[in-house]
Amino acid sequence: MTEALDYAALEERAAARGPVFGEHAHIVCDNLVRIYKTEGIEVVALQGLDLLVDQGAFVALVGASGSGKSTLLNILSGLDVPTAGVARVGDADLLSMTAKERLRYRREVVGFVWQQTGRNLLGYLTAAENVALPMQFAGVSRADRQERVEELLELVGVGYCAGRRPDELSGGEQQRVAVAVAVANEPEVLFADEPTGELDTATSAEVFAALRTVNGAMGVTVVVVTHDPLVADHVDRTVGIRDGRTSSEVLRRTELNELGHEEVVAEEYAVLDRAGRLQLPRDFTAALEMERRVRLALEPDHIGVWPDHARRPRKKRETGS
Amino acid sequence: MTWPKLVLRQARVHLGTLATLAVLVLVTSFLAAAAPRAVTAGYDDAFAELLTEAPDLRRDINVFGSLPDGATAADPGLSTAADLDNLGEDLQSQFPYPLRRLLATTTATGRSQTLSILDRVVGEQRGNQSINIRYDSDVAERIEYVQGRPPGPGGTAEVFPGGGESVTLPRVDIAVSRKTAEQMQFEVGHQLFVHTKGGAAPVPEIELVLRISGIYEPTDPADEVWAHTPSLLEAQLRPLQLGNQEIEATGILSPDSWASFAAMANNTPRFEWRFRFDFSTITVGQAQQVLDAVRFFTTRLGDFDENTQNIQLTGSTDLVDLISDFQGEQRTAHSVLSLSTYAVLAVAIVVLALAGQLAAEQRRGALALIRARGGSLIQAVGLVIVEVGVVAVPAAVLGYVAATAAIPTRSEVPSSLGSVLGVVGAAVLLPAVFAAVSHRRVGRNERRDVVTVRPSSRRLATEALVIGLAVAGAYTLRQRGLTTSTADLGVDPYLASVPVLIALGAGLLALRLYPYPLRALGQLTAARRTAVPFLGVARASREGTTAALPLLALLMTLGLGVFGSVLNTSVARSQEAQTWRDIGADARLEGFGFDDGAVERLKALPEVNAVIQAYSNDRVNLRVSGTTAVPVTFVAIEPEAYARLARRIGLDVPMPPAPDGSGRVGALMSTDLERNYAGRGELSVQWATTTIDIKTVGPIDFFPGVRSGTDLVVIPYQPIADTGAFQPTTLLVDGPGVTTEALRTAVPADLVAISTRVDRLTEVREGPLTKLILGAFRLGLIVMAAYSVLAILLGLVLGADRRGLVVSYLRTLGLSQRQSRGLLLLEIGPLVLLAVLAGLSVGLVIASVIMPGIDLRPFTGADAAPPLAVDPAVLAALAGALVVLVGIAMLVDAGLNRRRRLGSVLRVGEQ
Repeated sequence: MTEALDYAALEERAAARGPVFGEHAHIVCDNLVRIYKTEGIEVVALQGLDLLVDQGAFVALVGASGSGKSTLLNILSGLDVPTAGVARVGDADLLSMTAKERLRYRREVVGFVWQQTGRNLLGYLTAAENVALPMQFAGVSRADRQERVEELLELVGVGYCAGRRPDELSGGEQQRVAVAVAVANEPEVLFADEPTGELDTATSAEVFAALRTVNGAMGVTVVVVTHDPLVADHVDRTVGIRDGRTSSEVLRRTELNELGHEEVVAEEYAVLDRAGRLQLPRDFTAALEMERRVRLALEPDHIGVWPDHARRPRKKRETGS
Repeated sequence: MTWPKLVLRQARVHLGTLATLAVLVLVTSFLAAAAPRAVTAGYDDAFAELLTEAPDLRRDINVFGSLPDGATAADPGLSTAADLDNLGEDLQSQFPYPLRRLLATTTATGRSQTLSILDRVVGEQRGNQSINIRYDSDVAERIEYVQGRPPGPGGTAEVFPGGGESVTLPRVDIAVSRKTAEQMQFEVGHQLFVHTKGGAAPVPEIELVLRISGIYEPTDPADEVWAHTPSLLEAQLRPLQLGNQEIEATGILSPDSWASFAAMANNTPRFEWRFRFDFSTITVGQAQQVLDAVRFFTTRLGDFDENTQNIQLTGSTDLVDLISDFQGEQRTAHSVLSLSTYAVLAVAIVVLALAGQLAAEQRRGALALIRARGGSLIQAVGLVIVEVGVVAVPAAVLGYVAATAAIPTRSEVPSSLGSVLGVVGAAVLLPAVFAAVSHRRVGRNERRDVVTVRPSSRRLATEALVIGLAVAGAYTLRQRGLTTSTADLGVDPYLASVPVLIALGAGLLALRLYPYPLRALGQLTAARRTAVPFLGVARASREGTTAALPLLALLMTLGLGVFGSVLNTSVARSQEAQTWRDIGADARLEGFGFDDGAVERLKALPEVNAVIQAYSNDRVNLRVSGTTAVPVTFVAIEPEAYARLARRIGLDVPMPPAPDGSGRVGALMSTDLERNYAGRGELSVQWATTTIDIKTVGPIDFFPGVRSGTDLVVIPYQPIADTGAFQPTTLLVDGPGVTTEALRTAVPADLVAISTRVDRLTEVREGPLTKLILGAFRLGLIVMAAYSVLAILLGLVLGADRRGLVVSYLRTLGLSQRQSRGLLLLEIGPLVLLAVLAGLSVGLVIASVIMPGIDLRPFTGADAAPPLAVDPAVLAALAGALVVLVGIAMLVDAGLNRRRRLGSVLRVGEQ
């Protein structure tokens, strides 16, 4: 114990911050809250959600309806404003953007694809004109526009559709054109809300391939909200959302197995947020009848979770003598 | 792809609504440009018609020249016809330019005094025959001589009065019309011995010999010269009392014979210059100039030049009254018309707002996408503005040009460019505003299916402000009146828009309040077995803002209709009452005296029920104790007979009692007379040699045909009949179907004035400005009704998606087609009922606020602010018409929606 406290050192320690949460991530959500209030009705869509996504990642968000995935997507794509918490994409702080910054954000930082094929494209413009539209709003010159449109359409595999209207295209072609539209202004992130929801398996695969290409060739971070196992099972990282919070993650990697073939290994994790909260899967807690209170025990290499003792004797008596 | 191509592509998708919008803008700008033109042209035409149709005496400027007694024509230098014309030209040059350029003709006249004709046989007067001779500058070219020649220079004649020595007298040649010659038994070559009537000598002496040199006929009997001076064509008969008549002929002089007449010393001529104007192209803008010119001329008449030294010139014309009366009427008409204009404009704006809302709604998806893909608000809204503008601006230009070409006006019209620009602005900016409001924030951050439970305080404050403005405006309008100070300042726009504000405030209030009774009704219907009433009422009570604009349009239309009807009915009733007060019976004949034969012939006419005799004389003295003489207007009338008639027509006139044989006749007197003279002595009325003793029995302050404020004494007719010296001068006819022509057959004499109440009413009603106002109101109402149908239709289309969704859900649950139609009726029904009730109330409120403040004297003939009269039949018809309008709109909407299929509807709105 030092006799005279070094005030300068103490000050320094107080001022020094720990590592900032998500400092190096591309997309950061920290305790994100979104409450909808309309004339006496209140809905809490996001209840303190945490999420980190790295640059260039391809992430799937899954969850039951009403879990808050679409809300999260709307917030991250700048179409909605969070009520509380931190939401950051790249350098943009989504909580405190002015309208002008928001406009720039929508033009240059993000792109998105909706589920309904009709909502992604203007029905009275051709595919090429649709892809050119965001560039037109951003002020790109005509010549540059032409070039990029051709490039993008080729990239997603629908170059032959350039002169056709959306009602002359199949669902898969429309969604691929929508992907091209979304990346027209070279955004950092691409958000997709159930892009394959209305499509059959074959066309879903085409759309998925387009997203993959965009992710790989252009380095765009892709976040896809989906139910589709075709998508969810083929991405590197799947994040599960439940009750407005992230509850689980599945990470996949390809490995060589014993026989030397490549196989995909998936590992499922439960998400632990900064406060230490954990969401236990429902089938686990139901199987052991865990409700409200659990007991924890710290073991050398794991933490044990036991149900509340008081319940078990009662249950035993009911089942039989 | 360029911006213009983007706009065009977008436009092509919505061609239907854009076409409708184009037609709407075309019609509205046409109306906005046409209304001021039509109104100005209407005023100008009414003014020109008023002045052109006015009787000559009122609209010509007559300058009379009189000489002092004993003077001759030579004194003012008017011995020759040329001198007369020259003076006429001098006078003409004194007119200020605005008046002078309207001058059509100038006529100079020189006339003698009336000359009594002595018979050719010496000494005997040819029974009350007289003649006057005159020179008129415009007669010579309008006649042709059927016998003899035009009068020559004259000369002398030898006369042998009383069989004694001959006397040489001056002779003047004259010509007479054929009718005059027949009446007076003149022939060419006759010599008439005349002297100035009323001369001082005890035995009339021949002063002058008139020789008839020719007899003429008019070349065109319809020429207005003969109507102006009928004596030029026939001798005038004047009935004296007790069946005698006197007859006065007129002889014309040529310029030569005028010169010889003017040279005589013993007849003082009179002069007249008549100036006729051509008002057929006059405009209201010139009215004040002409008015000032006339005033200037008549007041400065005496000062003109040295030639007028010895003659006194006086001007006489009614132009000043005619023009200033019209100016007052026109200002009132303009105030009333501006109410109509503002109301029509308001409804047009409501419809444009609805169209704008529809346009924004149709582009919702595309604009949301554009915004989401990085379009700024300005870019997105700009696309809408350009798209609508490309259609709206040419339509507005076309409307403006069409209005300018279709309605010619003589005078300058207040520029309607501002209002047309306003229309275009509204058409283009309203969709932009709606779009901007919807897409200001990108993405959906509120739930659209949640019904507003409590209105925002901002909205409540705005509505309270509008209602406050309406109430304040109504109060101010009632206090100040709409036509105050309009002469200087024109119509006050705030006051003129008060009816619109009232309708707006009433609409807002109604929309706020109507859910409450509906919810109560909903609770009642909830307990019943059938679902449709409850569903319909529940939806109706939540209709909210989409119904606001069509409701407002309907309110304003019905409100204006009711106001117009109240105005029309009140004015009509007042006009009728006034004509009864003016005429006093179904018909009124006035003359110098009617003999028994005339009365019997009248009674014999099939349409006549009764003829009431009256004697009136306005040169009677009221004598107090035989000495003090107060001039009064005296009327003697048959009391019971007239009391019966007055009761029948609803006229409140007190009648004197029948004579009771006490020697004094009971008389009614004006309140002032009674107050001043009753009880101050023995009263009697006296004129010429007749005296009737009277006693006062009551007051009378109104008698038909007598100007109010006159001192009046009314007694029963019996005493007059008893004297045997008088014939009735006024006959009042009780006969509802009687016409002027029928009455003419019974009393053919010329000097009888016949007026029927029906004719009088027509005359009052036919005023050109009255017709203009009523016509404009009717047209405004029709236009507003058309706009209202469109408003309802647009409202229905706007709500169609949501309605279709709900109905489709219900249809999948088992609602039948018929039930779904019933549902629609129940949804719309309460709103229509609300519109009818609110519209009627709004109209009545507007009428009660505005009418006391408008000066309606020119239109009613009497009351400045007639009592409000409401015709329930008309109001019921208006309300029914409103329901029909709604029905038409619903039918059209049903026709448009027939193609909806259940499957496609259920996907709508699912985002």
